Amino acid sequence: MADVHLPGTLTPLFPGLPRRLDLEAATVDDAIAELERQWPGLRDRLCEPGPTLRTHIHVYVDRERASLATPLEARSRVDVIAAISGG
Amino acid sequence: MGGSWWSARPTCTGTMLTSAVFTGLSWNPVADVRALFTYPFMVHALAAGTIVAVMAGVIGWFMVLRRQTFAGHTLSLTAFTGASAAVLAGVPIVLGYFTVCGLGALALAGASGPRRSQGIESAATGSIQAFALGLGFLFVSLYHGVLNGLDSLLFGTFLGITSSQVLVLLVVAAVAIALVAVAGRPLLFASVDPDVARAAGVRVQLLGLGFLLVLGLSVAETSQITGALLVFALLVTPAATAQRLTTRPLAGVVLSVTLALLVTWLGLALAYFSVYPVGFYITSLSFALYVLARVLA
Amino acid sequence: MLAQEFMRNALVAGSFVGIACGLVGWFVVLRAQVFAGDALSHVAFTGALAAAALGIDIRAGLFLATILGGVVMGALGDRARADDVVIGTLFAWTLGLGVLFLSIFTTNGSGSNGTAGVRVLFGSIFGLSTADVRISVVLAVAAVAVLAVLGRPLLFASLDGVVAVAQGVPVRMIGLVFLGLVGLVAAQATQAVGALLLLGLLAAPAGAAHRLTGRPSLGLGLSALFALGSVWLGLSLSYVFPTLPPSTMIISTAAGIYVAAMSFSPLRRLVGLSLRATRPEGDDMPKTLLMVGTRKGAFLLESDADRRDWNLRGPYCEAWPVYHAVHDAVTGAIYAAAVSEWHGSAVWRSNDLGETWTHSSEGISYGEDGERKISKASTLAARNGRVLVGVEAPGIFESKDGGETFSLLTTLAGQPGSEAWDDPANQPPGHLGISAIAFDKDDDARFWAIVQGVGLFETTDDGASWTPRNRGLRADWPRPHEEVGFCVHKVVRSDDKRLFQQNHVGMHRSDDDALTWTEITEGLPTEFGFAAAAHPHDRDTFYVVPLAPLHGRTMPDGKATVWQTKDAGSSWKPLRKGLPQEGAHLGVLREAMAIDTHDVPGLYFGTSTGQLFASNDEGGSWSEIASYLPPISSVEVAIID
Repeated sequence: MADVHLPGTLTPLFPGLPRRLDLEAATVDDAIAELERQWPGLRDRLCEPGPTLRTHIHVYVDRERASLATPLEARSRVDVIAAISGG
Repeated sequence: MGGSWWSARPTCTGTMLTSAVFTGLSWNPVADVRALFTYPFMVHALAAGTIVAVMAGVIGWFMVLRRQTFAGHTLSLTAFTGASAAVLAGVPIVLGYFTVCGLGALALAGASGPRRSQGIESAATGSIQAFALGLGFLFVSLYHGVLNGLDSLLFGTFLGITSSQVLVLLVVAAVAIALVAVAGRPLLFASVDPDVARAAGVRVQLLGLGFLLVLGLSVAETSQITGALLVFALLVTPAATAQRLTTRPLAGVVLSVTLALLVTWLGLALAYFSVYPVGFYITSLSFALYVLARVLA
Repeated sequence: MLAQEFMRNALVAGSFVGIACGLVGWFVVLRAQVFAGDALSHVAFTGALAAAALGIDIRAGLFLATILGGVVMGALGDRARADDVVIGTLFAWTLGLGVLFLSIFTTNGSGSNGTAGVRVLFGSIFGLSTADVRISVVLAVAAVAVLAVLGRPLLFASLDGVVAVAQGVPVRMIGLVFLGLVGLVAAQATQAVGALLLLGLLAAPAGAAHRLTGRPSLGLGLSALFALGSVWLGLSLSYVFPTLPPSTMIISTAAGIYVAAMSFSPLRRLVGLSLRATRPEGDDMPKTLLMVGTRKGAFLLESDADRRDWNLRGPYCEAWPVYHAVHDAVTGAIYAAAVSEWHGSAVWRSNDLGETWTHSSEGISYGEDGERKISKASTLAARNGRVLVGVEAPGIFESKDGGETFSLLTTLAGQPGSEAWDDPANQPPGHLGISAIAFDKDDDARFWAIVQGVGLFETTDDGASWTPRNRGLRADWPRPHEEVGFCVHKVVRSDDKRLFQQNHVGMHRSDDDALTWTEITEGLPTEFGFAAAAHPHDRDTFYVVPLAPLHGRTMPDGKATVWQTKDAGSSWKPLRKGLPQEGAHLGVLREAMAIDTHDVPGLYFGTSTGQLFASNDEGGSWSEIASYLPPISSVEVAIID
């Protein structure tokens, strides 16, 4: 079970989406697929065609910068961050 | 009874006009002026007139600048209602004047909006005006109002002004003029260019409300001399005349006050020596000066 | 009560005078000439008392003075405004003169003369003789007859003076005769309720009628009815309670009716307006809704048909940058094209006028391989649940289910030079995408799209194929292809054949449905600008906001100005009233101006510094209705029933 933390900009977009939840997933991509399954449309908010993560969405697995392909261990901590930028 | 009053043909009064006009006038300026000061009531009248003229000259100048003459006119009519209500209720008339004019000013401030449908807003104003006057008439009637009471409320009087009344007028005028002096610059700014003033941080709305209140006070004061219907003569015409002659604020206000004083003193003097109401003289004199200014300038 | 002769006389005379006042008064309020009524009341007082003082028939003096006064005011024309110091001074002096005559009359008369002032000022309806009544009735009937004759041209001239003049209607003469008629009616009313109160009888019943309906026949009827009711009720009350003067009671009743009309809006629905399904909650007066897209969310401003006071709500769409927010006139939904720097583009929608929102970007994608990407959803067009989204890189997506799911409609591939559109070397600094989409009025398969820096295109087969519509436009740079390469900023439609366009270089007009264009820039301070609007009821009137070209792109000289043409671009006039004229370095983006379709249309524009300006009189005057919004990208307006 990965311990997934989501950014504050994401949660208001989907009714019932919590800031933190547990997901069964092998990679970051799988985790996002699982989120998409429960909250349709969520993938498009984190990823763009490539497929790849959106430019300003940073994902850290156990505090290391990750990509969609990054594998997840049991008890991995996943932080999805909306990078601070813009005005 | 056969015919009604409306179809009556009263006897010709033409011949009585000229001889009855100016009684007591000796045509010697020094003697006449001394005569004016003989009686205390006349001294009070002149004092009251002076105070009112100064106040009207100052406030009126701003009122004409802000194009709020119709508001002033409407307020003055409510003065009549306030006064007659006070008479009926047995409280000092001044209380009626100032209270109702103050309330009227607040109502006007609340009701004013730059973009109201013209037709409907003026219908509302006209209805309020007529209703207020009708109410005033009711109060006068209920009081078994003697004609004189009605006359002086509507057309002004300089008889029977007491020294305490003069004092009240002085205090109110001083307060009003002080307020205007303090707020003078921002008020001017807000009157001439409200949008830019607002952008510059001037409290345009607040100043507008404050001014309407001061206007209410001013109308109440002026009504006591010229009567509710002829407030225009002191509050508007001298100021309008001044603004035709100069656009400079300080010069304009001074000129407005000077003209108001001139018109008031002369009007009171003429009214003293003749049988006709002071309101007529003040109105005519200020109108004449206005026409003169238009012709010359 | 009716057994008494004085009461019968009062009722008969009062009824006829009341009806005349009600009917004439309706036009007085329509023409916004209530102030003239006020002035005439002064004249009435003076005329009556002058006659009394000079020893002639009082009625003669009264009628002569008021009719003359009316004609004089009519002759003054537009000069006769309520705030006009000259007019006010003149009529104030008239009152002063009346005071003189009153004095003369009073000092020379017997006891009965002592009440002269009162009678003239406040009426003497209980003192009318049978002869008086007869004359009153005759005069009232005459007045109504004149009004009936004058009625149609008078109405025309009052509602649309300019057009009436053009059609040869003698507007000035009609205005003159009308005010003379008002004078006549005022004189009659003076006998009934007095000079000081006649304004109430002219204004209150008519004002009440105007509050309830705009329809002339109904309004006239109501006005007369209210006046009649005021007279009867007023006289009855005065009869029962003799201490209450009849004039006061009549006017008080009239004023009461006015107040009732103001606060009784369900009655407005019942009487006169077409039957509409009533809403369960809230009133159902038409609302004017502004949809403002800004850098930090969508905002909504709501007002009524008067468009004076606005209620601001927002920010919506989670404060995402909103490039365009529109209203679907058929379904009532609001859509917002928004782009989040973190979460990409999406179309937000609300089906309850902004209370709740959802978003979707499902299907808005050029494919998973990511070769071509959506960087921005920039523009929307929505009608009856069909939503078209224009995006960068250039393409149009379509939703047929009210914005839930989308699919690619077209990329306008095949247009001259389109193969180079995606080349980064060709991208203008503002990127290249679809910046506007507009439906045809009737044909769903026909619409237009603007491709930034490329030009205007039309499709008649639902986006399958496109034709450039740029012939005659100016372009001050070399273009590899004849038909494209124009920088079209904004296109607005005036009627089936006419469109106006603000281009990067100049203003243009087409009179053949965009087949050809001609330049109409001359008369404007600059040729550059973004926003534009076309008058919904006048095909010759068009509004633009010229901006300094090159880098600046703010209003020239720091003076906020909207420019208007009323002759399809032959000449231009600056509209500045109420707009800041010093240090106002404001920019207005291409979608940030809108015009509504009320009879007197309201205009709105939002600046890139967050100010929102509005006019409810076709641009005659403006006010700032919001001052501190985030930078504004788009302003659209809708009338919600």
